[in-house]
Amino acid sequence: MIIIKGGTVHDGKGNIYENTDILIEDGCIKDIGSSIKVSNEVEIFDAKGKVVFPGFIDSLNVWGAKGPGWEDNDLSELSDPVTPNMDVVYSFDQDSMCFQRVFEYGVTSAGISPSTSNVLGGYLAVFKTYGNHPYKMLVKDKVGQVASITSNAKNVYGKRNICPMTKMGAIALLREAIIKAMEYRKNENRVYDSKWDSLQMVIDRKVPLFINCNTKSEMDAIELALKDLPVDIVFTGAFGIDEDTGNILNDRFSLILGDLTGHMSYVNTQVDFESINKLMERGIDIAISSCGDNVASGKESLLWNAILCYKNGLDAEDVLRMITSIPAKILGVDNRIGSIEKGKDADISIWSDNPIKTYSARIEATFINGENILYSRRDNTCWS
Amino acid sequence: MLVIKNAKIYTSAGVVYEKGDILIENGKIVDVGENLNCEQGEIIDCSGLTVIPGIVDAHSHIGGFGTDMSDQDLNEMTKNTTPEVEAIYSINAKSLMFQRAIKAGITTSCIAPGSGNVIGGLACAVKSHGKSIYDMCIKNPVALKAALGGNPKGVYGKRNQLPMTRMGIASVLRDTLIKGKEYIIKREKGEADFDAGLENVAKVLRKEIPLKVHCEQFDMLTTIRIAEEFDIEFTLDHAWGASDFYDDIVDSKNLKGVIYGPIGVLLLPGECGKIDIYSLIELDKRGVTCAIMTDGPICNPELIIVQAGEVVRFGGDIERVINMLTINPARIIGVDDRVGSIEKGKDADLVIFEGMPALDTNAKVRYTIINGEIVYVDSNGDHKN
Repeated sequence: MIIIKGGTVHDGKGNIYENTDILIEDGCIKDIGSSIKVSNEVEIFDAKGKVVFPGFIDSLNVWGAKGPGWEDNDLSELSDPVTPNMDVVYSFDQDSMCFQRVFEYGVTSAGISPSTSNVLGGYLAVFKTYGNHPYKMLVKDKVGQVASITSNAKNVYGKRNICPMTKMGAIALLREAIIKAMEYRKNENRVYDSKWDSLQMVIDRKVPLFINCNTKSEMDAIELALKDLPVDIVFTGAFGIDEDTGNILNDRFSLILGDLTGHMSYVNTQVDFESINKLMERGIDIAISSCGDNVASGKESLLWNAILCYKNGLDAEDVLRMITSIPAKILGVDNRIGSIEKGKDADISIWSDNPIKTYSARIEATFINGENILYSRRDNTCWS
Repeated sequence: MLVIKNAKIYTSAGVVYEKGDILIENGKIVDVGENLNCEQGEIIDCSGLTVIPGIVDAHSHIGGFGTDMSDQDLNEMTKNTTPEVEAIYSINAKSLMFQRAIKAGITTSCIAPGSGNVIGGLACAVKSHGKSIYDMCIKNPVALKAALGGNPKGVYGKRNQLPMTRMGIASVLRDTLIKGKEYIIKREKGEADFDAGLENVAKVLRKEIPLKVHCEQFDMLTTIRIAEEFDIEFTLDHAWGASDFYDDIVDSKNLKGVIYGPIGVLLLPGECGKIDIYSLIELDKRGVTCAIMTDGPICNPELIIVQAGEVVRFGGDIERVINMLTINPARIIGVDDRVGSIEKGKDADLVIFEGMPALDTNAKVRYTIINGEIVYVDSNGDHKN
């Protein structure tokens, strides 16, 4: 047991509690309150004057699954533009994940996703960012199916004279796959087909499609193309967000904003932050990530994206929700992570000040499953 | 006459004014200080605002690379050394990247050839605003670009050509410098034909310009060793992993400075294995001139401030960190006679912030001024009288 005493606790859902204790037992949050009474044996972490957050969640990233070198890419099965039958769990390496040390910037979980080079790329999964075994780090498998209609897919397949060479080609493949999965379901004499079989949980709306779109026109195309099909939609990248986003889908969507820090790609300068505010007021779930078409994000990237959202006028507490409780909800893991509440995993980051507001904020502890792993270094990696 | 009034001013010249004024005329700073007599002219009331010198990005490729790097004009990868080429001829002065640089407060960039070749060509220093590249350029050349490590290996190794290895790179670099020495001697005796590339190598050997070396981790030691062997000035660009080699860097001869960045990237074993921007704090304390780069368009220009913020996070003193964005890079690329600090006689390149840059995460550029001309005003800025 450990008690984090007397910190200013931001619960990740918009509430701030001064001078509050958090009691941790068996890796979970057992109690939250002022002056929780505990026996002398309980270890104390003094958080007086410190700021306590839920561990941050990067909604979409490549950490741990890209492979060991620049030349490796275990996230891009580029043998076919439609590979819904892939599962990122089989590309995830715990040592590659730990090597990034993203917990030094408070990130305790991440959605790890196949690349955006395929129209349908496979299933993403949520992992903790520190551990010694991939399946023990796994929070939940198959939380969504990745799709993409950005230039990435065009660039890969168009050059081979294979569809998609165009956006309309990409949309045609996407619609066809969903409809084929629906036909497959109805066909009583079906022969097993791993692609259409794997899409059943998408058309059952058990998990959403995470569709990578960079521009407004790409987002509009998706709304138009999928409005009558039985799928739930999470826009990713989504730099073209504006007030009208979701009009065709009747607000039946959520959104993960892509990386604002990377290349001067221009798409990421188009973000209309006032519209983000308005959509959030309308109840749309919007998260921040450091994902994008040119993924090279490091441990600092998620916080930097949060900082840029704050700098562009979003409320600091909303920004915190966008890297904690909201991604947890979009990724379907809010029963375990994303907020400081009784019963949740004890994934907590403690800072000297609010890092969303000031660069002077230093991290003091990162708890994952109730253990402060900030200074731990796994010594059995081949790189250390 | 343009007058900046009542601003908190970080001059990058050892003085911070809590409430100071700056007088600007004919594109130059005429005076800076407290309670200056300035009745006439256009006045910007900067009460509550912070002014720093225009930011100098000592390592960038803006205007010469496309936004996604696929379209590029700065890597002449037809042979492993191309000292004869000059970045200035590949820069699109009308690139929108310069507008974004201005918006982020970057007023001068050192634009260098890429890192595909062991010797990439000449780098120049340009302002972010001007009618043409010749109008924008304040000094050419400022350095000869070189690159160690994965970049040239990746280009030539794949073609089964030298250099395929790090030792191959060192060999190419040393060969070039030896040929340059021979060329100088023979040319003086009238025994050598003109060689455009070796002329530029000779500039390095004569210490007219430094060798600007892309290097990380232990490649920095290669740079230091070869620079010492040939008695040339050099800069360590990128410099990831500098914290492993403090003594080597501090004790090295003829080091013009460390130009660090970009950070926020995926870690990979080897040359991308250790990223340690906090090393600038120790290097700065020990007398090394330190700067922070964007490597644009690799990073958005506004990330130069974000990276400076990370140095503050690790305990860097704010005034020293502002220097790393202004006077230090200006010194390293040899343009500190014109830019980098707010002093009498220097170009009137200024950035006016609301909030403290590199400390307040929401500090915003309100005005960018280049050569005394207001080239950017934030739409919310209403301080102008």
